[in-house]
Amino acid sequence: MKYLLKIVLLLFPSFLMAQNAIFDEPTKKQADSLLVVFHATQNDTIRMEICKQLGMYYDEANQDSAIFFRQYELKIARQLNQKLWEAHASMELGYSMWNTGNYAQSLHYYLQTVNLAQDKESEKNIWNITAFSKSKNPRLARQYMLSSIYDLLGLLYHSTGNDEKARSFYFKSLKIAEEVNDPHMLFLVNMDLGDLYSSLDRLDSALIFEQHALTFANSLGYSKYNGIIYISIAETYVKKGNPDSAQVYFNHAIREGKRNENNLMALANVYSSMAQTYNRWKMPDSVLAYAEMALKTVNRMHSIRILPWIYSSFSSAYKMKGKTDSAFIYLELSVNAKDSLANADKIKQFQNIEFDQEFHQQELEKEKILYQSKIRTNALMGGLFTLLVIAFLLYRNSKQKQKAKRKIELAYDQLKATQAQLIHSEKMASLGELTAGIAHEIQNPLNFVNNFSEVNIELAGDLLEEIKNGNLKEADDLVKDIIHNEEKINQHGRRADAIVKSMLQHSRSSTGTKEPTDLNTLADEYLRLAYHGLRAKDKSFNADFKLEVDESLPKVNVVAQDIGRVLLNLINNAFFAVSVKTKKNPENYKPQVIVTTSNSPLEGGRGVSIRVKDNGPGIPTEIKDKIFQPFFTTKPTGQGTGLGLSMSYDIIIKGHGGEITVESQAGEGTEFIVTLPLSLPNQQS
Amino acid sequence: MNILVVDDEKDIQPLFLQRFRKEIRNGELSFEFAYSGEDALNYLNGNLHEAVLILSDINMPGMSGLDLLDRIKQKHEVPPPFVMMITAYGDEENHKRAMALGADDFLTKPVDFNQLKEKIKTLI
Repeated sequence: MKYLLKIVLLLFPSFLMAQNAIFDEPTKKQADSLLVVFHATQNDTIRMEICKQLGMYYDEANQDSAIFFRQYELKIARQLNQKLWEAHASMELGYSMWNTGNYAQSLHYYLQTVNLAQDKESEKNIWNITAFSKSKNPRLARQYMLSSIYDLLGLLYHSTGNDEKARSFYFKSLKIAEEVNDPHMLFLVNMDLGDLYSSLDRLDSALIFEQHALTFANSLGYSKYNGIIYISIAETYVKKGNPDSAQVYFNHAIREGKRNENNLMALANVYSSMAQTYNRWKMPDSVLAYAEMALKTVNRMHSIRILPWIYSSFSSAYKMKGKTDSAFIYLELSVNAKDSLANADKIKQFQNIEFDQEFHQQELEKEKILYQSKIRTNALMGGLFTLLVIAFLLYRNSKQKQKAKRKIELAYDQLKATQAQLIHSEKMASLGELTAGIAHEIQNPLNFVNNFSEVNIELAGDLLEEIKNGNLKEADDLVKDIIHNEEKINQHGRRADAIVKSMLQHSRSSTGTKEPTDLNTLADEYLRLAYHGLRAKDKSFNADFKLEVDESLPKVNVVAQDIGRVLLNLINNAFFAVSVKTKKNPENYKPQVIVTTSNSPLEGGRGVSIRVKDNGPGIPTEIKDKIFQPFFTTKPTGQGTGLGLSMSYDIIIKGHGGEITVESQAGEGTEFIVTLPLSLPNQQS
Repeated sequence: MNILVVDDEKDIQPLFLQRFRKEIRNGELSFEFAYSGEDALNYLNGNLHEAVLILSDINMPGMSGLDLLDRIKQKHEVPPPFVMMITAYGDEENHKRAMALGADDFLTKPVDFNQLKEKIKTLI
């Protein structure tokens, strides 16, 4: 026995190769050998292959054996994770279930197959792919499986009376079979379509499909189902009312059925079909004969699928013969068989599975929709997130801008505050500068006031003494000294007063408001004022003066009082300068002061200028940069406070945003130029 | 004792002459007046050893009292005359500078003549 096994095992691969692995089934002898190998081998893949072969061998002959091997095949396929093999086993199990009339179970297995065959994963790593594709193409192998299962689903739905669904599945199968050009599948689908169209009484179409099927079968040299095709053709001719042709095909069918030992189902079908045909033709004896043969065949293969029709034939035949009792018995048997085949429960079961499937598909659809909506939601969320990010960035950006704005505003406020503080501290600083000057300028006259008054007290004491002693000459001298000293006291008192007044004038904030002012008139007024003021003080003073005005001069927005003070200062200085020179160089010298107004814009703007020019001694270069400092003066002590130019500088620069410059040449004279902008900047007080 | 008073305030002369009139009458003190630093130097150049005490204002046009002090202490005869600075600027800065340049004393305006007389007495 072991020796034999070894030989079989050695022969096995070549035996497989020799076969058309896809649809050729083994002979009885081969089947016996395969059975021996199946029991002997430990190799799962070989067992799986043997199961496929034996399942095929038994599936139209012994359903119990077929189911056993299919289930074994399914178990191994699952263990080995061979998806396409699993699909195949499941499909064949479904076919066996269909053959035994268990439609619900059939549908259950078919749907498993559909799921597996639709999954591209099934194309991966297929063991012995030639079992499904001659060209060893995984895609074609899977397509073959799909085409097969759709065909079988069509068959199932045809059996349950849902012809429309059956047709739809058949055409699905046909489409795939045509695409991948699988002749075996083309044969099967055409055969099944022929049967369907025949039952739908579309007989010409049925005949065409059936002829096609026959052609494919012949070209393949595959005759297993030829009997079935012949029955279909015969039945079609019966329906067409062509009994002769029908008889020819019935004969073909019987011959095929008898020749093909292993397709008992086909033979049973032929007998059953012929019984029905003779029933139609009212030939009860023939009916009974064929029905008997059909029943025997069916009993051999444990299939009940066509039993109802066989019993029904018996019943009709006996009825025709007038044997009502027998007719009734067979009618009852038929009804029972029909019931067991398609009783309410089974149909319900089938419908449940159908419903489950639909439900499952709906679930899938729902999942798909859910998935899509999830994707959409995700996309939306993504979009929203992106928008949020953008919004956040924009928000942050604007916040930062706001922050920056606030910072800038804060910095601006601080700057303004600092500026105000600076102006204030500058005032304080200039006040500080003043303090030193004030100290000097006040302490000096005070020195005289204090000391001369003290001296006078002493002198007054001496005077009393001299008067008591009667020394009138001495007394007279003393009184003269006292008077002289009193004059000094008075003089220095006034000096101190003048200093304090000019100091106050300097430090006082201008309260005057800016008004459009005619500078020509203003210049004229102050030129005269200065000249007559000086003449009043010093009768010997005389100088030529001139006013040269620009008649086109527009009115300028200024504080007239302040500008007047500036003009007075500048003109006084000019007259003083020429008087100094007059005293030094009386001959060939004509002292002259000229005041000129003109339209002369500031750099980058419009403006006017007032020039005060003298032909005095000029300002020495070394003191030129000191002239605007407070208390700087070239005048003899007591004649100038040294505040005139510094005050003028403040009024023009700070008060009016203008400029004050000086041009001077030693021995030639000096010219002060005041320039005022026409459109004045906003003024700080 | 001959005293040179340097000040640009011309009224300083009648003031000193009247305040020290008894001392002048007694022949204890004699005064010379200069109204600028330059005048003072001129006098000193021409009247060597005449002035024993120099009283000088600081804030004067042209050569200031401090310049004058510097010249006297750096460039004049040994022993240098006694120099007392009198100023209306009674601030620390002027005081420090005057002392650094070698001033022997420092007075502020208005001048307290009683105090000045005491100081002069100690010198005689």
